[in-house]
Amino acid sequence: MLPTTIFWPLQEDVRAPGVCYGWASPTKVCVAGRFAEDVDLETARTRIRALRLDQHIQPAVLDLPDLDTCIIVQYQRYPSKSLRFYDIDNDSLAYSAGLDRSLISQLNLAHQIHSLVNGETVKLHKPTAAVLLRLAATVLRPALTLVYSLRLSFLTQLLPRSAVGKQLQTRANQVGSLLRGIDGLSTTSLTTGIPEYAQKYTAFFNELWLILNDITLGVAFGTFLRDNAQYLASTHLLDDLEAALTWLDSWPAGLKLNTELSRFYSRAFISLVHYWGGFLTRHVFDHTALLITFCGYASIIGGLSLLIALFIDILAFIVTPHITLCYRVACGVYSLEKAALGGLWALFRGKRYNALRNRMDTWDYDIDQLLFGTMLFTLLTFLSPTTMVYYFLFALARLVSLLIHASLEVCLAFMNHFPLFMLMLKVKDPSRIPDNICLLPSPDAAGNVLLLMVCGLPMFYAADWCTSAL
Amino acid sequence: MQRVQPLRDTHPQFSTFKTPSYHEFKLENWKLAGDGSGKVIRPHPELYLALGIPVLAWLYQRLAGGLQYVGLAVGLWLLGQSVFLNVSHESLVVYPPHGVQVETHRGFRNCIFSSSRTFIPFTVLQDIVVNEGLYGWNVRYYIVALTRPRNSDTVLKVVFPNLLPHFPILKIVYNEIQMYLPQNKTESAQ
Repeated sequence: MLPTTIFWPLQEDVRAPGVCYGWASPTKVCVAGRFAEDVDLETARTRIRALRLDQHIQPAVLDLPDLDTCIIVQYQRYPSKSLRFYDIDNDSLAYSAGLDRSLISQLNLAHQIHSLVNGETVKLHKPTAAVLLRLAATVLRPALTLVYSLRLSFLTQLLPRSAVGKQLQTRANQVGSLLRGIDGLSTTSLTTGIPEYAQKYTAFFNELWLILNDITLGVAFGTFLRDNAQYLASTHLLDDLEAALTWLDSWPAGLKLNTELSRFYSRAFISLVHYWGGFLTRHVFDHTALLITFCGYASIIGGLSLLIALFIDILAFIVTPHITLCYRVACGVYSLEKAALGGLWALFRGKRYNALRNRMDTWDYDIDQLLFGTMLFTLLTFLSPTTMVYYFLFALARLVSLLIHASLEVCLAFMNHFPLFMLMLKVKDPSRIPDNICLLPSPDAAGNVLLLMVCGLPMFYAADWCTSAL
Repeated sequence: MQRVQPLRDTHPQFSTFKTPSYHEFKLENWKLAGDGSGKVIRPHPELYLALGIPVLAWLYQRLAGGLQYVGLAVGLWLLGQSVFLNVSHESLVVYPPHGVQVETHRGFRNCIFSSSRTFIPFTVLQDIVVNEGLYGWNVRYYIVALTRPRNSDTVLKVVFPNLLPHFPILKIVYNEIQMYLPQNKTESAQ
């Protein structure tokens, strides 16, 4: 027969006299607090009954068994305004003779019950946070509502691949959740659960902090851009590409390419690049300073994330379309040639691809088919270095532009969803982001006393917050 | 309530300690010599420190420019790891109504630098089993706690992960822990 476990708050002395109140079950007892010595049993019962809470959290006056036969687990009864709490994994097995989630929620409620019984007000946040929330509710809320009402939901349908549209929508979602957060954090009842409140609190202030960071950095970059409207050297991309194509045409690194084909390719691609360059020169280069100024103002209003989104879009729509187009053309030719070579190689060896069975079958070709196929195979084999070289040039250029695009998108994700608040809490006050508890034998008392402590937070928990915000 | 060494002759580094509130299985990071002479083999991280610092100083003189700092950083990290992250003892503690706790304590015998404890409540613990793993050409046995958090897939938590004791120790731990696990208790009650 297992001894009963009593969970005792560290703030109350175990051996002192007085009536205790808390929650009891056959195998475990959770003590929330103790009345003063002069309070007798009947008064205690009346005061507890006057609380009138929900049935699953209503405490009762406790009739404690003999303390020497029980196991005493001492826990820290965290004040509700410190927003510290205990947490364990969600349990799934139906065993409740010991520590489980309902007991942990009782431990988290203990201080609120203690305050209620002693007639004190239950405060759920520190004074500075209360001031900030009031400020947010009065000053920020109209501004946020205005911004939210301006959300241009048609933009994402209009420009589905545009980073600016996605960023505007992300910002609108953030503002929406901030508004909901202001409401959720300001209206609290006497017995709001601390873990849920702490989660909402952390999410709210994390988003607020990220947006403020964003706007601060955006103002800095924006004024810089607006004052020095010099531009990224887009002419370099055109000139360098043209120079590379000309280099390929004239025996690059001693590799002897087929003259006519190479000349055809280089002329075709150079004309494509010229076409795009002409378009840019006629319409865009005159207005580059204006574009930079526009970026500056967008960055001041929308923050650094909007600037990064604008850079991504400028990269995709203005700076690199010719690279993408040339890549697609070279890719198409290369894949066609590869398929042709594959089929002709099979013919060379006397095999044929069976589409029905998805395999290679031996096949008896006619002599004229064999001759023609061999001639074509030889032709294509000797032409393939040329196509391969042009394909690799554009594949490399596209890879570089994709790398820049991807790193800008990573920066954008960091600006929007970095768990800054959680990292700060991990350094400053890890008990507010608990992962698990641990039990220790109490160092000073006798053999039947244990200590309950909050254990640290592994980093993948922060990743959970990250993905939930996305 | 005294610390007992169940395998005093062959594995004295393993000891158990039982109180009404908990039952601890402790494994310390030393062992007896394999030739039966009774000599105790302990890891000596202080030796690494004593030997490593002159080697580091010599390397620092020999390497050029920026490589000095890289070499110094790498050397200090390796030294620091062997001294500060040296495992002193690991234990499995059962708190009978509540759950089991897997602990790793790093540091020296008299001075523990850090302890990491993982508590597994009985509501999450499915079972404790002795599993076999292929370790190079060998088969090693290890005790693992099967947990099922949040109705998702089973997560395995290895007990004594750094020391990985041999089978006689595991057999004793397994047999003694069976009486605390709740599913065994409900079966015996039925």
